[in-house]
Amino acid sequence: MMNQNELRELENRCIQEHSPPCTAACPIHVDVRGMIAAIQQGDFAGGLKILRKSVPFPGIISHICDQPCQVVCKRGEAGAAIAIAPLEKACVNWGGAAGAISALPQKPKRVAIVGGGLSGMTVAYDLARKGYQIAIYEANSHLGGRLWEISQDRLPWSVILQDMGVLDKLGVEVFLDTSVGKVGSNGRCPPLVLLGEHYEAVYLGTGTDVNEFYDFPLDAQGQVPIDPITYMTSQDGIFAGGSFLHARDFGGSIAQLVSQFAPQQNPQALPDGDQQTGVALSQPVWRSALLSVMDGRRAATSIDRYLQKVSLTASRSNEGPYTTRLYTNMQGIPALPQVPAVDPLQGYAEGEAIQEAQRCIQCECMECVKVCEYLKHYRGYPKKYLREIYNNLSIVMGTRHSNKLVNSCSLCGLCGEVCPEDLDMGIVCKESRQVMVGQKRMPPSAHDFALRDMAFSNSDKFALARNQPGAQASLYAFFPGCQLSASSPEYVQALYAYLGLQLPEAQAKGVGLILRCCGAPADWAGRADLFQAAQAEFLAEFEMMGRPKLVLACSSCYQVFKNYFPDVDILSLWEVIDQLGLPAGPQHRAGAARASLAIHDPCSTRYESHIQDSARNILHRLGYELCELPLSREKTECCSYGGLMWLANPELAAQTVQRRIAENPLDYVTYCAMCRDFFVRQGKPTLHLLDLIFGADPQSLAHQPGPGYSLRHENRARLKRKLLKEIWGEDMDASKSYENIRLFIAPQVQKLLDERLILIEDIQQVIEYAERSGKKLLNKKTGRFLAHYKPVAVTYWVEYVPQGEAYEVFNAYSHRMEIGEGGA
Amino acid sequence: MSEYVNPGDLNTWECVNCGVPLVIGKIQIAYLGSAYPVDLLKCPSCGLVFIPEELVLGKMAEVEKALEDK
Amino acid sequence: MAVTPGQSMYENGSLSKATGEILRPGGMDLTDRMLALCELSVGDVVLDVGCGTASTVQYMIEAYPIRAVGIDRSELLLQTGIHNHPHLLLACAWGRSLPVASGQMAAVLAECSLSAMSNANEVLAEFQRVLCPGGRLALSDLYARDPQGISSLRALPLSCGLRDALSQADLLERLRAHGFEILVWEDHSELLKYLAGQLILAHGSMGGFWSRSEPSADPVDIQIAISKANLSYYLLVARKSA
Repeated sequence: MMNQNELRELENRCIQEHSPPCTAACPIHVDVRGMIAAIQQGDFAGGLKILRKSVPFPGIISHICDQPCQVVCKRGEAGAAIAIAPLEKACVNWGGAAGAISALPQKPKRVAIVGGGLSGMTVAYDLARKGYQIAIYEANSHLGGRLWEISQDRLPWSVILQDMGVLDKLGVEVFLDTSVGKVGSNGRCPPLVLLGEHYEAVYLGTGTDVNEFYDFPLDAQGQVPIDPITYMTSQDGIFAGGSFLHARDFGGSIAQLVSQFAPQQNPQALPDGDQQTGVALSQPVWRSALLSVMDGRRAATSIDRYLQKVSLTASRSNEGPYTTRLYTNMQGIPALPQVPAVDPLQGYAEGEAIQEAQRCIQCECMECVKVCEYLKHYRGYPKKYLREIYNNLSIVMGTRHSNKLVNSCSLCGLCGEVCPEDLDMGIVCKESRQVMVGQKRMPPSAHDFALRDMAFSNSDKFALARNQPGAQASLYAFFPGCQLSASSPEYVQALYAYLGLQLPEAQAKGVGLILRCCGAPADWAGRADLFQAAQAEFLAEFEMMGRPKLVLACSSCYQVFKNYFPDVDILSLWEVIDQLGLPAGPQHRAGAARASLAIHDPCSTRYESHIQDSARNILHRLGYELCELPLSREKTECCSYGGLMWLANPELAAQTVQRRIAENPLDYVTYCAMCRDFFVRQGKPTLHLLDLIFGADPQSLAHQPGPGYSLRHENRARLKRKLLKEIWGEDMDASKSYENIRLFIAPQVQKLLDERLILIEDIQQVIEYAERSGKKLLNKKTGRFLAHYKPVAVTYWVEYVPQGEAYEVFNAYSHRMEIGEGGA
Repeated sequence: MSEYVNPGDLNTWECVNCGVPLVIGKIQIAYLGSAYPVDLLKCPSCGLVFIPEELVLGKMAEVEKALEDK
Repeated sequence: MAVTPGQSMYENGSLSKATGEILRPGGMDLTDRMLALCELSVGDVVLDVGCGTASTVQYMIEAYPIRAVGIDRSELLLQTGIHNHPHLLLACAWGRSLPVASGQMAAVLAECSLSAMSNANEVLAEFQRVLCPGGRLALSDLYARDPQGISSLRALPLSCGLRDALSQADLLERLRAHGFEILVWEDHSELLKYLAGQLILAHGSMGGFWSRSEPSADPVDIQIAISKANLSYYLLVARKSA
């Protein structure tokens, strides 16, 4: 059973919530995707709001940002990267006036910032919004440092002034023309140590001048020691950051940053807005503008934690740029060039911005949801589902509860196959079912019908384990499985004869026959108890028969034996036929027309390429041309039989089938009885491989619906009776008394019974009980009888009329609630 | 008068064993530990009950689902 | 069923249609359990706060050698109570202002009614006031087992106490803050499950019940909020600290 850690590990494999590459590469993690989504709708104000969440000075940054995001933009693989900074600029230009800046209530703590450059201003902005009282000490007569030195074509002064106005609104105190004590000061300036007396924390955004404060002991390189994660200096409460830092050799992340941001080579190498403006690239110092903001942010976070006396180092790994784990599938995305701005200096007009924004892929993963109706149905993605399954919360979908989420998965493994991190929801769902069963929380109606079907197959009505007549043991045993026996009992008989002739050493050593259910329904339902009981029964027969090699017609049986019966040798029937050759007799070759069929691999063959190959070989030998479905082989989809989805969630199952059968206009061929039956039921002509080997008329067989539930039981029972009689010369035990009751049922009534999962044997038991005990009601108006009986857990009501020796049935319904009768 | 009993059913059903018409009486319906008293048609003599299809496929099915789902 | 706008689910019949006269989960069995935990003596006076049609007041007097009085803020329900049981002492009043002298009650019973009162603190202060020293407070009511889902409940435009259901921690803290010592706490989620069945039998579905009893809210939203908050039912007996 999975523990918390294992579950968390699985949860973490789902990367859907990870940031897109742009946000991860951005040193201040702007929600680029969100901003662009707003622009796509023409909502520039909304885009600006999103921008403001991360960027303190959106006007300035959007004009001079180096756009490390562009380098990693996935759109670059399909045309050209999105012009992200120009789109930010469009938000600034078209987003209207900034709303009020929100700030937390004032705290009594004061922070001093030395140096009013971009990093210092960022610290001021961040901390003022958190409610701290801020003072900036700037040696020059203006804030903004080297921003003013940038060409006005690139960064108009009006933009700088506009953005800086926010510091005023936040009540930041500014002391211009005020140096703070360092070597060569004129004595009027407060020494750094005095600042320590009036302020609870200090940030030094002074560039390399920091090395000249008397207050710090210097290291061997003559530099002030600064912690690379927290930006705290050796002095408690004094922090430092800014562009000078990046010239240092910190090793590790900062060095990597620097190499990313400060390439000394050809400016044209960078794809960015400079192609828009046509302006010569500014000096290398501007490559650090964004990093200055990042520094300020990092220092502000440290100062905030420092003042709140919490850990400065906890959870800081994703500050600064990193490579995201998010995977985005680029298949099918057409290459489109960047939308040009008519006036590059001004930037995008609104219409141009919207057009460019449309090119954004809105990166996300969702690989599994794209291929699975079940995952799509609950409008989330695996991380969310796993969290909710584990916390046992209900899903936000009407009154659905996590029970249904857990029970609706087909356990087919397709999600694990397509997931970039191999996350298989089925593993968790199956385990959860076991837990639910253990806690007695599994709704009985979810799987009961299928478990009863399995019990029937393992009862003496169908179960059989025989050596070849005259043999004491078997080298091989044919294990056709319960569903093929139900759908096409005549093929089972033909196959047994074929194997008896064709398998090597069959004549000498014998081919036995085992009719059973392998236990897959119990495994899927989380019923370890029932599975183990079935397993023990099989193993007893297996030993008695001399441990034969099983030839399995059903791929689900193949998986069960492969996973749970390590001591049993198994062969797939399809491999055997492929190797030994087709049975003699009329096979249905494609003929001169070389008919085409689309092949559907049963989901249990997902990683059994040898079985998939064999099926294709056989079909080719029969002369058919095969078309591969879009999701085939290891990516094949489940027909809804898997995991008992068809029973636990019939509506979802129908959707799943509809999706699959719409993938190709050709008729389908498959080699699983349930896949075939489910597809035909929803209107898709589908052949079973055996139809082409043994069938009388494939054309009509492709349209033939599979037998209803009662007929499935009858087919199995008849198959056993027939084989016992014809091959072993034995008669089966007398049938139970109620099985002799003959019924007339009109087709539309039979359809109703199938829909309501009511079997002939259930009706027979009701009528037998009613007639024997006399406990029945008479409807005086219609003259029909109505009786009810509860064989095990379900109460069945049957409306009927005797017809000579038989009974005509008009209606039947059932319920699980028990009736307390007796007493007047 | 029970609201689970259709007035049209009142004179329709008869217990075959006892040969008498059904009358409204109290019965219990129970599932997974919860039992509810409801008034339905039953035989006054032997207690045989009539539960109409509409009730079974409607409210009873809903109650079963609600009791299973928690 | 026809519903009169402006009436609560207790008044308009949507709840009683399902549960009968007793408008709460658990019925008299739960009441018996609570009274047993109150360790009453002959002649003690018990106050039933939120007595509705006074069937519990009547039951207490019949079944136990005690006296019982009831208050409720619904004139409509009290009228029915007075009509059915003319000899009972019933009054129309709010929980935050009990028309009872201080220190007189051996026990205060509030069954599925505290959540319906919007100012729990004032009400608890009143309970504290009217109880005699060592007197018992017996509560049974809805509560949210998952405090994180409470905001979903609070966001619903409901008129019934469901919206104000507290978490266990919150409730216990308030009780202690008002001078109560907690003696017994029991979770009775099975009662809510049973009530769900009753509501479905009466109204066809939970959605049908919600549409009739709380027409301003979306039935789906209500059910989602109930699941998120993991709504359950508790029984609690506390003692007035000396």
